[in-house]
Amino acid sequence: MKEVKTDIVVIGGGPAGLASALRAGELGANVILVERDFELGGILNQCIHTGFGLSLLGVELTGPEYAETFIEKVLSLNNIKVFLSTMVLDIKDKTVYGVNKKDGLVMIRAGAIILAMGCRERTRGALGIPGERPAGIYTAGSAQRLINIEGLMPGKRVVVLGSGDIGMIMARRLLLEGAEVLGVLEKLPYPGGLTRNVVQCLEDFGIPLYLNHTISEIKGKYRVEGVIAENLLTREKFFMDVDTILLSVGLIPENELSKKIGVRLDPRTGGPIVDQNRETSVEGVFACGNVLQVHDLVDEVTRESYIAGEGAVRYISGKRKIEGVINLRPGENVRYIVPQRLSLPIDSPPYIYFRPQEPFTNCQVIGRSNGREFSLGSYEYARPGEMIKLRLKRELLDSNLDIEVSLVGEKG
Amino acid sequence: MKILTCIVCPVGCKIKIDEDGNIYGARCDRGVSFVKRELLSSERILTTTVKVDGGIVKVVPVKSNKPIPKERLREIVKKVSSLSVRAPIHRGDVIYSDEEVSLIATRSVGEAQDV
Repeated sequence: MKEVKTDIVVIGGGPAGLASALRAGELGANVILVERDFELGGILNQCIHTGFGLSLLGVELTGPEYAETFIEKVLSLNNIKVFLSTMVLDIKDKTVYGVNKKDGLVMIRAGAIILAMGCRERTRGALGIPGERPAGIYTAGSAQRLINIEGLMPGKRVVVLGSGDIGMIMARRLLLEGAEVLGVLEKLPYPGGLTRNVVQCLEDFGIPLYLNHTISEIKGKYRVEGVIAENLLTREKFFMDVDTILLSVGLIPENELSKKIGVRLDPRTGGPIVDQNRETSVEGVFACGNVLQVHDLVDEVTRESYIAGEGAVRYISGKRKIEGVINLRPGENVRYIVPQRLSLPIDSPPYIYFRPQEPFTNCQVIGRSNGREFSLGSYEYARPGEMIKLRLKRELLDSNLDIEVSLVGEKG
Repeated sequence: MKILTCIVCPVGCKIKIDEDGNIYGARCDRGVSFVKRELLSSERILTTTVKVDGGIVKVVPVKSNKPIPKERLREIVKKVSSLSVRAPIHRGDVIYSDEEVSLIATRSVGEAQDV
């Protein structure tokens, strides 16, 4: 068994792990970054499309380019050590137990832990679609890995269930690689992913988007031989002649390890409850990126992870003290808010992230505390698929009482 | 009145163009130039993969050196589907080039180590 000591251990070598390790390392901490794959970068490596880095770096990069930019910075710091092909099995107090081929069991004693395990995809099991269990049913992300890393085509005639971003991006990718994409089905009356992806992935290539539709049956015993698509409003059904189904039906923060150490989770996000420094309910344990909340943009993952890296460094240096707590509560039309609480004292009003329950136009975000009400911002459009980020107002924090954030406007 | 969704960045501004060619609703200048380009000719950066021999992964992701007219994207992907390149590859290497387009590697691919 290998036994090591460090200031901060980061679990997960995707964009969140890279950025939090980098910031902690830049601030002088000794960091160990643990990754289960044979290389760093996480899911960015299979996201070969562009659109990464515009808001943070001012240039439009592909996923692998964005990843390599941060990997190079992490590897250039001597106080960050990287453990590849190492699977974390357990955490007890501030000790992380992992396993790899070379060392066997690895025991890492740390002063603080940053959770950056990302998320995983919902599968067919979560949907309960009737039918046999034939080959040809993939989550969009596993199809993406097959095509963009392993160089394999998952099928020839494809339907995508769910209009999440990866689903729409994979519809385009499969079509470019020569498959026929018969359509994208979405059970809600609006698309799940970013509007730009509806335009550049579906409309650009004439791929139909069927809103208010789902798959009510999968045909085929050994291989998918077609699906029955159903209009949820009219109950009309039609047959789609496909051999492959891609599921893009949501992401779940991967918090098995977090639960083991007693980190409290928010049922709305599926991730840990954190304060503005991204510290969880367990002292000295921080969380950032998709393990905390499923983001739309990697740029925001990186920003959030810088905050967690800074928070962890402040914690190990003994400078962080908590003198009180303000809870942030989602009010009307708000699905969730991150962070869920603010630790006092607060130097400057922090940014909050949230999503509306449903689409709105010409709407206003309102913060309420101690019977007073403040407008926090107004938006021409608000969509559940597009996270809203805004700064709280100083006046809201004055009373040190809980804050409720609501959205009011025209639905649709 | 025509409404276009800007795809320059993930904000996705809904930009309106009226009969006199006035442009409204773009939150930045990139949106205004996007609309002007989009109305003349729809072009996109192409991203795809090219086969790799002897690398730690089987394919290398690439992007076009410039935006490509939408209707040419499928043809170019087909053209490079039979191509293969040898590892090692460095990010920024030109993987393929003809009179129409160059394809640039967007990641580095190390040589596979024999196990």
